[in-house]
Amino acid sequence: MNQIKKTFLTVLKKAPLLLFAVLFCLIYAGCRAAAPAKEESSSAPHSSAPSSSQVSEPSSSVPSEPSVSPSSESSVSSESDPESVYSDTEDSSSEAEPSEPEKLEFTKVDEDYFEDALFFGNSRTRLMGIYAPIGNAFFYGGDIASVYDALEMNMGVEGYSSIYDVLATHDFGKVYINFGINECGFDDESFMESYEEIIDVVRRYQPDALIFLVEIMYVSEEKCITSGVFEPYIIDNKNEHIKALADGKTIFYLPVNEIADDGRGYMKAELTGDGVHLTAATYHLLSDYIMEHGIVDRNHPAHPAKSSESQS
Amino acid sequence: MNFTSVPFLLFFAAFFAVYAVCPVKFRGYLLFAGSLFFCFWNSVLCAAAVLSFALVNFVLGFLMRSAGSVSARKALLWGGIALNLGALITFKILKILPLGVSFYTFACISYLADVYRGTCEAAVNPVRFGAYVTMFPKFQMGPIARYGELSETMEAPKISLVTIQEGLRDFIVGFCMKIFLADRLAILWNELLTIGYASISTPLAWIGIISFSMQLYLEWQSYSRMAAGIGRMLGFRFPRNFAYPYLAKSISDFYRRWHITLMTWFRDYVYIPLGGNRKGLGRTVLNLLIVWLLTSVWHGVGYNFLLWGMSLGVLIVLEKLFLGKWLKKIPVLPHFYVLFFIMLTWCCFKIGNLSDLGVYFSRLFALPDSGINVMAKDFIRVLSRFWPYLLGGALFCTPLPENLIRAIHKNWIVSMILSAVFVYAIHTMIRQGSNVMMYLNF
Repeated sequence: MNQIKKTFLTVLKKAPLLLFAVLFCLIYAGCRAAAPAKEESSSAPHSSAPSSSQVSEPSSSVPSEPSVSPSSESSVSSESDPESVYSDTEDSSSEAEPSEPEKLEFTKVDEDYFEDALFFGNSRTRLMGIYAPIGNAFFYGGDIASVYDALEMNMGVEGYSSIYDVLATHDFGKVYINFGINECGFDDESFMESYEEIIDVVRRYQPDALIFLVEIMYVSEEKCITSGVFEPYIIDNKNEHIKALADGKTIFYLPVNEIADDGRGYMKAELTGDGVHLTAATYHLLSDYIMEHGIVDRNHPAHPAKSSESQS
Repeated sequence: MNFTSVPFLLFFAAFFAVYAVCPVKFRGYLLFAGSLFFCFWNSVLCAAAVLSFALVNFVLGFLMRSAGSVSARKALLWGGIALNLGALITFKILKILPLGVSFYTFACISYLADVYRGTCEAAVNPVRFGAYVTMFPKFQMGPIARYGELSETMEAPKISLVTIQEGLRDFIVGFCMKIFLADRLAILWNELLTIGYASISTPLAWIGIISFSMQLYLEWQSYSRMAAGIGRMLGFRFPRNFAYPYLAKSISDFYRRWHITLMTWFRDYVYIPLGGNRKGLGRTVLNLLIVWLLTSVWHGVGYNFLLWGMSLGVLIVLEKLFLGKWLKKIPVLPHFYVLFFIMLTWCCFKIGNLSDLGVYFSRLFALPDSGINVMAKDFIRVLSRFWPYLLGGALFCTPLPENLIRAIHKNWIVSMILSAVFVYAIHTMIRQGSNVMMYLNF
């Protein structure tokens, strides 16, 4: 006992770091072993890298599968109910109660269209709001936001502690939802569960709004290789699930990869600096695309012409 | 295995436990075995390459030892240099660089040259020589220690509680520096990439290059500290590699403080054999430019590395000619001169594409019509998020914090705090990941 005490005091005097470092490491290891396992993928990156950098580790051995280019069709149809789309016609017969729903198609709109628009998403949304905002649209995007935490996240917009504040204090005619890149390391089932919850919340607060689901944009080839989780097929799978939510009536899918896909399931290298986001100089491509893909539904309460029609 | 990774921490804890109880005369063998494991963990190519280098250079050194004539020794020396350099150049051209090859190639060349000159005895024990070449603390990123500096210790490396305390102190300081400062500053550059060089404001461009300059130093310094710490714990004293270079008063002075073992290698094995400054001014200038050409090639094959190296070579030549004398007479201004040019040359180092480099320079100096969609206040957001790391980084570019830790670390309360910070750094590392050392596969 005396020997142990003597050894302990000697170590404490001459090498206290050894003593405390080993002790604290053992305590830490014990705490980690005892802590409940969290369902967290270790390869789940974030689309930008503020305080939580997910690093470019050497590429995994998973080969990239041939990408499935998203549909380049400009018309929108719902996979679940292709016959329930409405069309927008200029005829006066559309003013009467139609016996069959009109087919809604994307059409070019101007900046006024976005007066009552909300863009809700991750860093890709935030950066679009800085470098290529459209009209007076409201941008609420968080750098490390994912479908799992976006509803409660304070995204740093002054006066709004979460999306609930935003939704409760505005009447939006259009809500653009853009998530998915930060969730590539997660399974599709849990991703879609949370994604649908977001849509439900938006619908609850904004029952009349048109909802646009923005396709998850690919990343650059270099980023894909170094990260190992942004494989085109992973992004395509999630996009297919998102697309299936579009009904062509009030929920629409925006295949934005049209503007950046190099044809192989990667973002064109010249459009990005970090491999994940468009740059400040190229974000206008996304906003231009969105302005060319508005939905004008004269029968919809949120149609901007309603206000001018009611006044005439 | 990076030093800042759980596998390495576990590996070293297990290795050290065995090493500490191993009889002193067998520790060299154990070190070789542990280092080989370290290499194999990286890749078979890594292990195969380093073993080949170790074997070939051991044989050459052994033959040189027993060679009778000067010409035979010279032939072995030059043959060895050609083999080492040829292999390194081949790897660089093929862009298949086994981990650490740039470092141990130079270590092997220095060994052959020192044996030839008689500066050190040739190795007679292949395992101990193998331990010198493969030694895992210095394997990935140096320092480039000379054989003669470590050979005697390799015979019987002794450790004590004092060496363990000092070694652990350096390792912890380096580890925390990497996790809390270097890795965080690396993220700042990502912000610039996200925006795009053409769209950053001029203040942000300067913040970016200041941040990168600090990050680069802290990466190296943290790694060197960790390597030195591990070496010390194993009973070895590694040569110092960095001496607070950002306090330098001239570019020449800077590179006497930056990556010291690499620069002294070029001095001792290239500059001085070429004649150094002993053959007139013209030859001195030529020798300096040759050294910087080789330095730039060592760092990488590319126009940006060439631009980096030759810019520095020209500045050093100018200092040799007349600028140095002026700098010695002027107070304060030399520091700004050094920081200004060093940061600009780091731009060349960081940005590989010459076109992008041109864009970045245009943003640094706010050239007309150079920006696209620039947000004038973009730097405010970046500063608000990164100012603690910029301040901390600036502080650790000075000797103040490390001198303070060196003075008080033996106090058990300070040690307790350091240990707690160390564990928090481990926790941060696990939670957020850690950037791969930018010089890996060098």
